[in-house]
Amino acid sequence: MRAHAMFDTRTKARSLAFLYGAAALTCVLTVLLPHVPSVEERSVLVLGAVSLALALVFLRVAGQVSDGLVHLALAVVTVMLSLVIHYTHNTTLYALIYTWPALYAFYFFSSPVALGHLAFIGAAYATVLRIDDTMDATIRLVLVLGTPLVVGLLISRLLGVVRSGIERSARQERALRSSEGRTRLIVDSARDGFISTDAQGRVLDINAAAERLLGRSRADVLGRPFQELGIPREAHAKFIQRRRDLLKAAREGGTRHLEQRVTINRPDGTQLRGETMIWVVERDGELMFNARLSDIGDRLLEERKRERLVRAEAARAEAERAALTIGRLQAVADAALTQRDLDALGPEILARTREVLDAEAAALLLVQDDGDLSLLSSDPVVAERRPNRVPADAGIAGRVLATRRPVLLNDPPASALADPAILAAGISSLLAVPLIAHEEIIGVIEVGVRPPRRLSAEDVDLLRLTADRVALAIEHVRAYGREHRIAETLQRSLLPQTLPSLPGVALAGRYLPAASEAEVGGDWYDAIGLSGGRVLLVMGDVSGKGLAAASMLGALRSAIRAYALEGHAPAQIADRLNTFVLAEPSREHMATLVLAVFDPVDAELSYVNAGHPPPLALSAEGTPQFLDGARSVPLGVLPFPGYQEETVTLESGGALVLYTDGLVERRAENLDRGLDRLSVAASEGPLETEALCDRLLRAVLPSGATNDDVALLTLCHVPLGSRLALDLPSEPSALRSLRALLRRWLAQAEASDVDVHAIVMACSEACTNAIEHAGAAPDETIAFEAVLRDGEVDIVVRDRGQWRDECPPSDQGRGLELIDALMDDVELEPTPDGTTVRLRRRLTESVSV
Amino acid sequence: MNVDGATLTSSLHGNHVIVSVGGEIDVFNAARLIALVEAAVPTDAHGAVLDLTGVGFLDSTAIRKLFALTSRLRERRQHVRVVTPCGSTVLRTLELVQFGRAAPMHASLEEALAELG
Repeated sequence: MRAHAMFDTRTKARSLAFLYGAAALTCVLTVLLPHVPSVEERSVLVLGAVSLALALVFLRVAGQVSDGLVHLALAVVTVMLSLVIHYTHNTTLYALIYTWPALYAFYFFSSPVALGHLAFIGAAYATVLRIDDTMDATIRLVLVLGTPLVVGLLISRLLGVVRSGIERSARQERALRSSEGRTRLIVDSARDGFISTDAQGRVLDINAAAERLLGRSRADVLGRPFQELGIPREAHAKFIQRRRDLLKAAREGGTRHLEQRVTINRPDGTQLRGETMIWVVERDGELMFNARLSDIGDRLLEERKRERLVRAEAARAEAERAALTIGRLQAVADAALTQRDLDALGPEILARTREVLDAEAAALLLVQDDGDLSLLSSDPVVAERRPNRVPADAGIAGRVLATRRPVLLNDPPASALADPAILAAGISSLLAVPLIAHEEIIGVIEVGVRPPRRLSAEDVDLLRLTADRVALAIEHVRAYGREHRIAETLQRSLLPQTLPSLPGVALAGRYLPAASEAEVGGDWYDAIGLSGGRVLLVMGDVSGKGLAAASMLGALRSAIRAYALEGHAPAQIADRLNTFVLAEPSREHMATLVLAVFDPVDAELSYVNAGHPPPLALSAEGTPQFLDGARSVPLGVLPFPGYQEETVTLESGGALVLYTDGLVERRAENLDRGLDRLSVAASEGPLETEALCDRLLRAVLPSGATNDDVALLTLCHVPLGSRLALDLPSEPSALRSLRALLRRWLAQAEASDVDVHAIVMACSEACTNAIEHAGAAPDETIAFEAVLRDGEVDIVVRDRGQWRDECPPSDQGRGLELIDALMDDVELEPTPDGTTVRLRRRLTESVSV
Repeated sequence: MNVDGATLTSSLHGNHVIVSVGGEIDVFNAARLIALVEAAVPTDAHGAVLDLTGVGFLDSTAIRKLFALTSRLRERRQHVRVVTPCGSTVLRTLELVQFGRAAPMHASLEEALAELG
């Protein structure tokens, strides 16, 4: 450690200037004050002036002298003082002034350097002594050197102690400052603000972060009371009070710190939302406050953001849960769409209900007509069959019925349960809710859960929502069942129960509803006996399905019958039907239709086709031919379609097939293929009506199942052989065709006109009798048989009725008289079942008339 | 006019009515037809000519009704003549029941008209 580092250059230079000044003063005073005359005044004054000059110089350049210059200057001082001693010729007293540079050296320099200077002083004094030749030079030298040496050494030692003390404290201070510097660094780089105040709250120090937080610089805040640094005026008092309380508490040994939130207004207008922790510290017996200030604005924002996130998460989870529940509720309602009857619906509904409520068991009970409940279904299904019926007042279900409110039962006793299957499932909590449709209770739905779960109010609400949908589903299925039954009944009633039986005409019909459709379709057929032994055949297809189509169908059927019995021809009937369909309000209806009137007497077939597949005619040999004439638009599409009929001959032995498109149409197939299939199948086999129907169905629908409804009507023009047998409807209108048939048959047999007249007359009378007098029921038939054998015609007329007694005998008689007159033999056989009349006539040889 | 398979037309001939019937008359339509025939003869007519040329068949009911008709017309002092062509089946039938006793039968309409007086 360099000694002169203790003193700065300035001090040394100034001291040096002082030395020079002192020397100058000594010189001046020596001359001015009374002195011995040996003093060389001029030289002394010159020396004084030089010293003064040097003193001034050193004062001037005080800051810039180097150590070397100081040493030199000190040597120069020694030399000048030597010259002063020399020129005053006073080697004794004035030798004292050597003390000044000597002490200067010891003061400002280290001991060795000072000793060096002392040695130089010694040498200079010794030189002066030699020059002046003084007595006792040695002793004077010793004294002159010894005094400053001793004093100087003591000074040096003292200065050494002081120096080392100073050095130590400088070291400490450096260490302290560096550690302080480190702390400062830490404190300054801290994110939080640190503030230190005295006990009165005046700021002692703040760090960089605090500057930022407070919006003020360090210099601005030092010494000011903290509360003036941005705490709102209204909060001052409180702040001060809390500080005081804290001090008091600290003094008493209680808590030494407190935390609080503060709002600080910055000078730039912004606001700091902060949190401070204030604690009391003691230093040197004084209490002070240290405070940490942090900006929680960010933290608050963070907290709020987190809260919002959590809330949003919770809301989303809630919404997802709700959506899931709603989805499951909807699944319950949808169950009705997949099931058509209650037995299948029950398990479906219970499975979905269990899902909605996450329950282990569920049961569904429905109110029956007698008021009791019937267990429709339970889930899980219990292995053993137990009685299904439950009295209306039994158990939890009974309570629900009575109160029309949900019932929640924890740890239910077995007696409360209509279905011990629930109990067997280990249920600890049971909830039953009424099923209400159209404001009436139609049943009860129960769910149960296993321990440790308990059903809650939320479950009650959920089950009520489910119950709404269950009730809807059940009602839907029931309504559907009703509607289906109605439609089915309606449709069955629209098809003819029996087909009319007419001479020369055999009829057969088939109807197959579509397999996959639960709704009834719009196909129908009909055969109506018209006057004169004719028959009207109808084959139709109303657009649409269900009740609407069925009711249009029924209306058309009735209309056709009415028009036909009025005697209108097929084209006229079609025109009227068209008007009828067009006039149907609201719904768009359309119907395709074939109307055909067949007269077995002249074998004529008149037909009209309103947009329907063409009828198929078969000759007696089985040659098929589609009747493509008279094609027109379907009913209900044009206001004036102008239907026209076509007439063909259906010879004896031939057949006619009417059908709907279900028989010939297949998906992804040309219609012609279906028609070909039909005609091929029809021609391959006997033309007997029932056999024909069976054959056609087998060929066209091998699997028996259809996508579409199928309706089929066949007619055979029954040929007449040597035996004419037919069932006569017990109606007077049938007689004409019988006569015509007979005439034809007799013509075939080449009977003469007389024979024909007689036989036809007799048969007509006999059948009239049978019809009139038998009192037969309308659907009873009269069995008529005529056989040609060996030129003889034998006729048998059998009726199944009872001869009425009320008939006036004369009527009866007239007829019988005629018969008697015309036939060769007449026999009457009354039997318990009816009456048989036998007639016989021998044919005469035909004579050309 | 069409009556369940039979036809009926009427026309005036002076103060007589000619009623022409066609088709087949049996128990089914006899009553209705004969009633219509009767209705076709106004009460102030002197008589009626019933032309059965177009009739193909008559059964006992028809015959009975015809008898009744003639009798009613006679009660009204109206003459009735019946036309049935030769060889027709109806003629045969009416001969069988001796209808001629109830009303004169003629072979043609002209013949019947000529006889009107």
